[in-house]
Amino acid sequence: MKHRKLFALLACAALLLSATACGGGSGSSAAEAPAESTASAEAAEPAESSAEAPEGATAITVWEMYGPKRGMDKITEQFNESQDGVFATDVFLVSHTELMQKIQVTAASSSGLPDAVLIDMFYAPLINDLVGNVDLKPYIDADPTMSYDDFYENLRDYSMIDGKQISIHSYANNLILYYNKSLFEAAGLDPNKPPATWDELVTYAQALTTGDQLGFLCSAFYDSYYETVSWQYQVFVWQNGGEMWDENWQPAFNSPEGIEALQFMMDLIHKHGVSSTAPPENGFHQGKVAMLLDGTWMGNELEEALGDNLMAAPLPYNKAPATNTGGEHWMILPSEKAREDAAWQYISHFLSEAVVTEICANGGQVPTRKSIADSDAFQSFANEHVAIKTSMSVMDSARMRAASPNYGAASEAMSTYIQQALFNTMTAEDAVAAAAEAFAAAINQ
Amino acid sequence: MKRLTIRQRENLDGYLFVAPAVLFFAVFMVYPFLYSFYLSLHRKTGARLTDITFAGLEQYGKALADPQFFSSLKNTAVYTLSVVFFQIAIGLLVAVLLNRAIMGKTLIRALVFTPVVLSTIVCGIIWTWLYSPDSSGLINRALSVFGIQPVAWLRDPKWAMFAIVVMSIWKWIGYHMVIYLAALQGISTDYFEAASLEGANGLQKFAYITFPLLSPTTWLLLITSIINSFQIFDQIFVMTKGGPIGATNVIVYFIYNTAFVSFDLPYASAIAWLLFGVIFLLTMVQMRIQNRQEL
Repeated sequence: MKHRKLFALLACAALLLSATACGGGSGSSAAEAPAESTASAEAAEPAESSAEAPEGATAITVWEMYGPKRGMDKITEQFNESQDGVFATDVFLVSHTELMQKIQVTAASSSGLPDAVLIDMFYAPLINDLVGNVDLKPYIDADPTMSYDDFYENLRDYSMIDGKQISIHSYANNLILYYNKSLFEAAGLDPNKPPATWDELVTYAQALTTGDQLGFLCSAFYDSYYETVSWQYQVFVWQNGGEMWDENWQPAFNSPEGIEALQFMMDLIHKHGVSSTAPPENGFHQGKVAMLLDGTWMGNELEEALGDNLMAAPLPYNKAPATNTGGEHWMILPSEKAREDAAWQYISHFLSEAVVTEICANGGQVPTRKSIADSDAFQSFANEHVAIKTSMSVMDSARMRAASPNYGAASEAMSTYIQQALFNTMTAEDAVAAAAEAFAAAINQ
Repeated sequence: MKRLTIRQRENLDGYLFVAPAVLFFAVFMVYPFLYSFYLSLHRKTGARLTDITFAGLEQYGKALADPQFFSSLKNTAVYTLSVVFFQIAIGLLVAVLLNRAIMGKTLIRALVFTPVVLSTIVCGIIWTWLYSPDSSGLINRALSVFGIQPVAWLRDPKWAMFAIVVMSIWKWIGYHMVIYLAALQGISTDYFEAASLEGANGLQKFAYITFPLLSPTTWLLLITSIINSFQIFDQIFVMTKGGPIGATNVIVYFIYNTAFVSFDLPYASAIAWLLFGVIFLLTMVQMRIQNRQEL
């Protein structure tokens, strides 16, 4: 009797535990990467175009997280209609995390992998480690519509691993300073002279902090997503003349510059009182935050909210101008040669001037090819959009994250301590030391 | 060929009928359950989920030395204690109130039960709006009427768990109410009539008749609520993502992050089995206490 009861109890607990495991994945997933940290949750199920491949065409599958909202489905349709040799099926997954989970699972079973993937740049080295991405350099060299040198050097160098171009930036973004023109004027500040240094940032933010209005905000101060915290802290370290890592991706931020950078972020909240870890929801949109450190992709949304009051500038710095680069990478996963060629044809379509311009307009991104960025058409478009224009102007000072397969894990490990310091539960010295130790353990695993 | 007897044929029919359910249970429950134990005895050796090597109890040792594991366990315990007590207490109170002949009781019962049938994700999104940190949030707006400053419910480490607890209590009161209502309707009115004749007041009737006779129901709710509370995930995923600074990082969210964000399945499996051990022990203790009380 006793044993039967015990067995029943075990079975019951097993059932409940299994149910949790199954239930856990079913929740809709909010987009999480920096490029999407403020986006709302969308449909949980992957969206897939239902048309069938015409006879004789090479059918390829593309997994991406940019979505129909930004025109990916329509551009895929246009591609399919523009030629007969390749038929692409676009599968939209709602977040980088979900897309990466799907790739991990399919890579483990070695079947069902897509032909091309568009995902946050920092996942590219990990995916290469998992499946051994196809080298894109020969494809770019052989493509008559583009040249390898036309891509910004720092962007293409990021994903040149062991002599292989494992992926290529589809579009790029970076962190800039948005500010509210009317709040500047109300505080007696000249909106045409935004803060250029950390000292000026503090002075301006103090002048702009009144009542329930915050002078300055960056999402690292309140967002729980590790990469948001991590990649924004990196910018402050670089701006302070420090380095985040050495050429072997070993942490180098446990330095006076790294500690000072974190202390500066903490001071903005706890010493100067010009920022907060609990800001109002969409405070910048509502005019309750005067200056916002955020990405290019927020430009469209902020323009809609603030209209002509939206202004943007390069980030203020202490010793050296710096920002961090974001954006999504295209990569081809290994399969048959014909499908790899077809996948490149698809990617090439997405890198064409017309499509890049459309994507940049829809999603607030900047081109990754100099010829497109310098074209009259794009220049005149950028002149009408402060975020695009500013982001293009800081491409030279845009730094890159560590191109290591373990970067995600290392970023997550370090962000825990950075966040604790931002909430004032650790000193900057202790937090940076612990973060560097955690980063090293994760990057070397 | 030997013909089957009638009894054997009946047995075969029975097996065929239960086969789909058994197969489903074996493939989707038993196999993952056992495989997770197998995984927990391994170590990750590469980027792929399948890159693992046998490591004995290493992952269990790692968990027992991991401050994040203990802080997530502590967060889960705080959540469970708060939620279970209030869900049962308020559920019982509402059930007793709605077990009387009051006007519109069916409508009120339906309203109280509505959150139970709503998706937790939907509830989470609604409550995130309600908890909006500035005065645009409905709760802060209501508090401002009394001169209380806006609270950053989900962004302040001091308040985040409290906010999740309140939402979870609201979500599951209806379930407890329905179970208690069913149990209340099973209590014979003879007891109450006899007590009335003896001069017992309402409170005495509740304390000496209703509550003791509801004891099996209370135990059932206690056991299932504790098991469910230990597995809280959806609210956290939607509302706080374990933040701020880990204040709502409960154990299942920690397992999810380890397994599906860091892709360390062996470690996540070991934590899941430790959680299983905790829930199992708690349930055993509860059953022992219940058995003693019944004796």
